[in-house]
Amino acid sequence: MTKDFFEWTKEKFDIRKVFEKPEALKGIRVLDLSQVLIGPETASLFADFGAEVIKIEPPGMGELLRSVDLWSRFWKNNSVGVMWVQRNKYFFGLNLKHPKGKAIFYDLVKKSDVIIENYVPGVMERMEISYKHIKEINPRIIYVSISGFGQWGERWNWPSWDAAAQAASGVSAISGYEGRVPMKLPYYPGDMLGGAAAFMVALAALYHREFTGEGQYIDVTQAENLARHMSLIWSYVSKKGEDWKRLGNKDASIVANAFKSKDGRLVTITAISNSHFEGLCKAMDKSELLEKYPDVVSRLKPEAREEIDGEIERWVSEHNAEEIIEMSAEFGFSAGIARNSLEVYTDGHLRDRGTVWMYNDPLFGEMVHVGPPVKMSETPGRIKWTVHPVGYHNRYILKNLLGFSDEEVKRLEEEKVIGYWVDFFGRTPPPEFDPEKDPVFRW
Amino acid sequence: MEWHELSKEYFEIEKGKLRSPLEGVVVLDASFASPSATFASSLLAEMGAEVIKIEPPEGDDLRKLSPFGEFYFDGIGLPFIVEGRNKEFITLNLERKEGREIFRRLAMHADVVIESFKPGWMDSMGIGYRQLSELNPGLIWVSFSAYGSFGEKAKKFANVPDSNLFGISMSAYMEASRELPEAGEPYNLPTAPGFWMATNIAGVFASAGVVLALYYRLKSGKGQMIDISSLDAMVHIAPGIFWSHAHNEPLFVGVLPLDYAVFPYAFWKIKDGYVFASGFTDPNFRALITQLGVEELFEKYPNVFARIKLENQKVLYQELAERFEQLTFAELTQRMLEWREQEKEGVAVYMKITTPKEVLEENYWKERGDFRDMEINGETIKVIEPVWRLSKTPLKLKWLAKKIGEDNAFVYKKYLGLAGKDLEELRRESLI
Repeated sequence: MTKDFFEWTKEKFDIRKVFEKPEALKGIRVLDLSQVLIGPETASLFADFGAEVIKIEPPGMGELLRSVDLWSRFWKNNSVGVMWVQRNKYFFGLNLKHPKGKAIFYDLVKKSDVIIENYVPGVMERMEISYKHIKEINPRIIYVSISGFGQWGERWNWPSWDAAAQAASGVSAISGYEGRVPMKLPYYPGDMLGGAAAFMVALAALYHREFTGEGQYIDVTQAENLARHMSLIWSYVSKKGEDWKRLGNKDASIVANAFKSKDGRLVTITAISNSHFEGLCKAMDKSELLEKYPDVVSRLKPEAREEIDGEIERWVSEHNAEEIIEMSAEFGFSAGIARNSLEVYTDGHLRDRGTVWMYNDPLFGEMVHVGPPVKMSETPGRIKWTVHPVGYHNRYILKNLLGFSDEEVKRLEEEKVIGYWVDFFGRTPPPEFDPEKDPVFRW
Repeated sequence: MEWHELSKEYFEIEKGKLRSPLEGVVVLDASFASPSATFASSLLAEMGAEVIKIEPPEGDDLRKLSPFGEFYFDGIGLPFIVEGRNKEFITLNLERKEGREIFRRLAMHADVVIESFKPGWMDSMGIGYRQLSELNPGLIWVSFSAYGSFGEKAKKFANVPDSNLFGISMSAYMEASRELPEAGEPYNLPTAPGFWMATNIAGVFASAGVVLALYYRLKSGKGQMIDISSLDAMVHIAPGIFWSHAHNEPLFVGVLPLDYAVFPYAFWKIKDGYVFASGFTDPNFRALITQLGVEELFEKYPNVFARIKLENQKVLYQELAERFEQLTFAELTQRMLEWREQEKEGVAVYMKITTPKEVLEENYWKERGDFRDMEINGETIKVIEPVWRLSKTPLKLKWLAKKIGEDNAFVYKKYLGLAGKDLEELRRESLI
């Protein structure tokens, strides 16, 4: 007899076996010149799936985000914020303004596949490491430039942060409630959604290169990427001739909204298809609602929505949130609870899936990280380590990859071509770390 | 030549003549009522894959969605029109054994299958990844669901359909998206973004997974199964929410319009709308408050540690709000430009909060070519183009959604050699 489907998937996706499996991007080398969130996240996704990602930072202070942390708390001397987007990378403290530093960078370029940067357009050109320069050294390179508004166009030199892109793209103007200050979507989606898209298209370029051998230049922007996510809203607004109203939690195109439960939780209910709505009506014991609105279109009209949402609101208010979750499984509609951080952290299901990824970090000890967002049966992504101090892998990279001797490395240190962290908040290694005894650092 | 002129030249290309990155890849999208799967197959289609959307003979219920039930073009609502881009539309009844046999034959020609059925359903019907990969070992299979195909709760909650609000709420993203308690209800309750963030981002990650799998297949010849939910995707893009507990931090709380990591980094009301303003490093903060005429605040809040404290943020937000209310966006940018001309230290960033209608009128987007007027059913609608620019293999928007089964003749002939009478027979049997 064949195995139960879920027994089979359990084995197929078992996260305890991840490290026995191959990595999709093994052999791909990425030079990560980016900082803050969007570029670093793009590079981290490459590293999740096995690429060797070398994060190049200016010696000393390094990356800007090392200065920024939630409530400026700095766990074990480091920014937790920076840890999110510095997964599995090698940390190279290289002075690109020094001629020898640039020469080392060019040598690395010859041995690399992808470059990721997110400076204001023009900065790379001034430093002579723009695509124009790099393609002459390695025409196979895939060079990803990420910016607020693009390398060209009338906003090419506008500085940008995630929330600036939210403001400029329209995603904030359509989020929150009418009459309030529009919603600044938390957790920097301008960066995190943009990083995911940059990863996707860079992979496509890599795939293409297998057929033609040619590299290319890629221009990804925070603002346009967010605009792409608004999809149908552009078509609606232009057709309607009126602006989109902020609707709180109500979805205009789907029977979906959030309601308060008996035990005071916020519960989201969604019925996209006819069968989902049928299941919901059965759960609510409201067959008359299904009879009155038998097709999807009829339910979306504002008056119908008011009636339907009103019925759901009353029903939800009479049940505890967990009861509704149980019923969603029984009747086949979509229900969720606006869970808090602890509920997500302790969710055994998310741990089983490696979405909440528990591991032992070589530098920080017992740690949690966010696991790969897409689960792959043969080449699963994995977390190996997170942020390291500026220059931690200098010796490893120079000796291993570029064949430098101990003496040459020493000279580069003296000439300030390469360098390490400074004793400044967000830069110092965790207290347990002893550089003299660390085999990788001493490589 | 300056970089912004030179870089533009890399993209002054004849899109139509250039190869697409995923040319030659055949995708069967058998998803039903799944915005995330639909977005994923849209992205793959923009990247040049041949996406064959398989619907039951009566069509995907997604076709019927449209904001406020308002605009339909030949019965197709806006979400489906826009994300039906570049796909071929065929019908096939998978509820019937004969239909499943046709699916099996189609899958022999496919590189990728996308589906959103209840986890285990296709497997139980003999057309799951487990069975079809035996016949087509290079097959890449993407399953979309709410709780996924594996994990503690997968089996028990297999019946639950995935949705945007499910991913937004269960990931705690919604909990982080709330105003401070004093804002009062409903503003201080968890709030979802105004677009389909969770299902879209699941789509982006899934299509990235497909390209990863295609790449790996070139090296190994092996296909694989990909499992994704909008919940996993949302947790991934907002890692810091649950993460606090690994460091023995208290529960994460939403603090809009403030921020937990940087201040000032917020939206304010101004005379003619709303603005984003930021300047959170010391020199940038000084630039911002000087431009607003309250430079004396610097002494009180001289470093990030002082500014990030919640109680201080609240006071500062209010102080700055009084200033912002008296200024227009033009006045703010004027001050910023003067500051820059005088080469003073620090950069304050201002950005007007732009509505969709305003965006559609701005020259920036026109010059970048982000929107295009397209014809559907004799009417013109504006749609967003693929926005990520690749210099050698550009992404393309070719056409919008078509009618149910419009490509039956083309696809069934191309892959299974079925035509004329064969198709009529299938139609009579209600298989297509």
